[in-house]
Amino acid sequence: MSSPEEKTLILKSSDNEEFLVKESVAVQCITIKNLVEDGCDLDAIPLLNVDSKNLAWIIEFMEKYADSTSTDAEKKDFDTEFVKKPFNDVLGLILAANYLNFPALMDVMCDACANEMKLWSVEQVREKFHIQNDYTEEEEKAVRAENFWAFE
Amino acid sequence: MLPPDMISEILSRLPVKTLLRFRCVERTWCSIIDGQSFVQLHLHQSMTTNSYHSLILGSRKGLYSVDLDSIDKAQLIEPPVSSKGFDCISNSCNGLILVMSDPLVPPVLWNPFLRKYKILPDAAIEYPAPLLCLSKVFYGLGYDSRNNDYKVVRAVEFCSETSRAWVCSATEIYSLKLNSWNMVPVLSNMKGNCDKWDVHVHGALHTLMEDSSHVYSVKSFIIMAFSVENENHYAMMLPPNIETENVEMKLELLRGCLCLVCADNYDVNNIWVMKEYGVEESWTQLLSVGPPALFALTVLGKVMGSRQEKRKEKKIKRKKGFPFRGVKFVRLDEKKTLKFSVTTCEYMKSKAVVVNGLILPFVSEISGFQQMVKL
Repeated sequence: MSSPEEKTLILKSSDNEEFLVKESVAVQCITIKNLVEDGCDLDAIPLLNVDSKNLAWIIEFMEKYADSTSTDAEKKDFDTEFVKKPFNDVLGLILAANYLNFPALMDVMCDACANEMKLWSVEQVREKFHIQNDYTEEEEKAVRAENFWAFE
Repeated sequence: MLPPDMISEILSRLPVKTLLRFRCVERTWCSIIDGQSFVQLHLHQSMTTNSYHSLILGSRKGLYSVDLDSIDKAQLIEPPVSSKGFDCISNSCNGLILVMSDPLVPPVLWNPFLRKYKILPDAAIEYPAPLLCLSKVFYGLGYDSRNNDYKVVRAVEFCSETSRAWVCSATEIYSLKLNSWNMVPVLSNMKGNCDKWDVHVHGALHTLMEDSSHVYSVKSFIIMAFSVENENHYAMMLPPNIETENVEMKLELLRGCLCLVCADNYDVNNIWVMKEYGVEESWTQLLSVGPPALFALTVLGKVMGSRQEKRKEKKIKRKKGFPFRGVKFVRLDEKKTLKFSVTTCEYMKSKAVVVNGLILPFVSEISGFQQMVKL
C-alpha cells in the first residue's frame, strides 16, 4: 500500500485514456517532473503527443526502472524483451520518450534502433524509416563513390 | 518523419563505416552525418559507452585494424599516402594518428577509420646549421578542447658538440583549424632520452622520463606532461615506492585515465591507474599478474555487457615475438587476477596489398575510438 504522502498522478493520453501513476515514478520523465514542480494542479496531466498504446509501454518501463529492488541484470533482461517490438513501434517510442524527456528510455530505444540498423542496406533504411530518396541517380552515385570501400 | 535531432541521436550509436554508407540515404542524413556537431556527438557517445574502440597494428605485412568488439578478426587497411614509406607513428588522439617518414618531411595526419588523411604544411623550424650533430625530432598529437582543435606538437632537439648535452632548439605547434604552424616560446625538455610522447589525456601529452634531478644513485622516473591547451610543461610522480630498477615501464591510457604498465624481472606485470588526473594519491594498483610476462602490453579497457554492469574486464594484448604471426588478446578480470583467457586474432585472408616503401621495422600499435573528424 502506498503511504498517505505518496502522491498519485493521472496521465491522460492523446486518445483520452487515463493512467494512474505514482508521482515518484512519473517524474523520471523530466517534462512531467517540471510540470509537477511548477505546481501543476490539473486533475489529469494531458500528454497530447502520446497515445494510449505508447503511454502504457512507457509506464511499464518507468515502473521497472523506478523499482529499487530490481538488479542491473534484471533491468538488462527487461530491456532485451521490451525492445522486441515492430520497428514502427520502436520509432514511436523514441518520439514519445523525446517528447516526455525520458533519458533512460531514449537510451534503450535508440540503442535498439541502432543495433537493428547496423547491417541494413541503404534501401532498407529508406523503407523502414519511410524516407523518400531525394538524390538524383548521378548524385547518389557520386556520394557512394566518395567512400566506396564502406560498401564492400 | 523523425526530426533531425532524433536521427542524430540514433546515428551517433552507429560505427563509422555504417555512417559512411548511410550518407546515401537522403540529403538530410548526409548533412547530419557530415556536420561538425555530429562529429562531437558521435565521439562522445563512443567514449561514454566505450564502443567502437579499435586497435591498429603495424607490421611488415601491413596495417591491420582490429575491432575490440570482436577481437578475433583483423582487417587489412591501407596506410595513407601509399607512395611514401613511413616508419613511425605518433600517439593516438581520439582515434587520429600522425604518420612520420623522414624528419625533414612534414608528417601526415591520418584518420584510419574514415580513411582520410592530410599532409601537414612545412614546419617553420629550421634545423640548426650543423646537420653534423645528432638531432631528434619529436612529435605529439593532442586535442585542445577549449578551441575544439587538434594540435600537433613538434620539438627539435640536437646534441651539442661542445657540451654533449641535448638542447632543445625549438618547439612549434600546428593547429588543424588554422592549418598552420606557430613557434612556441616554451622549450620542450625531452632531453633526447625518449622517442615521442606516449599518451594524450586531459589536453596534454605525456611521456616517461628519467628524473635527472634525483641525487641518489637509484634511477627514478617521472612523467613529463606538455599541455597543448596551455602550452606549458609540468611533471607528475609515478606511484610511490614502486620498483623501477630493471623494470620495463610503459604509459598507457585506460578508460580516460593515465595508466602505468610494468613488467619486472620475475615476469610479474603490474598495472597502476591514476584514477584522478594529477592527484598522486589516486594511483591505484589495478592488477598484478603473471608469469608469464606479457611483454609489449597494450592495455585496453572494456566494460563487458551493458552500461549498467559494473564488472570490468581488461583486455591486454600480448604480442608474440618475430616472426609476427598473430596477436593474442589476453583478458584479465579485475577480480580474478590470476585467470586469463586468450583469444587469438587471426588475420583476415584478404589479398596482400603491396605498398611501396612501407618500412615498419617494429610492431607498432595504437588504439582509438573510431571517429568522424574530417581532416
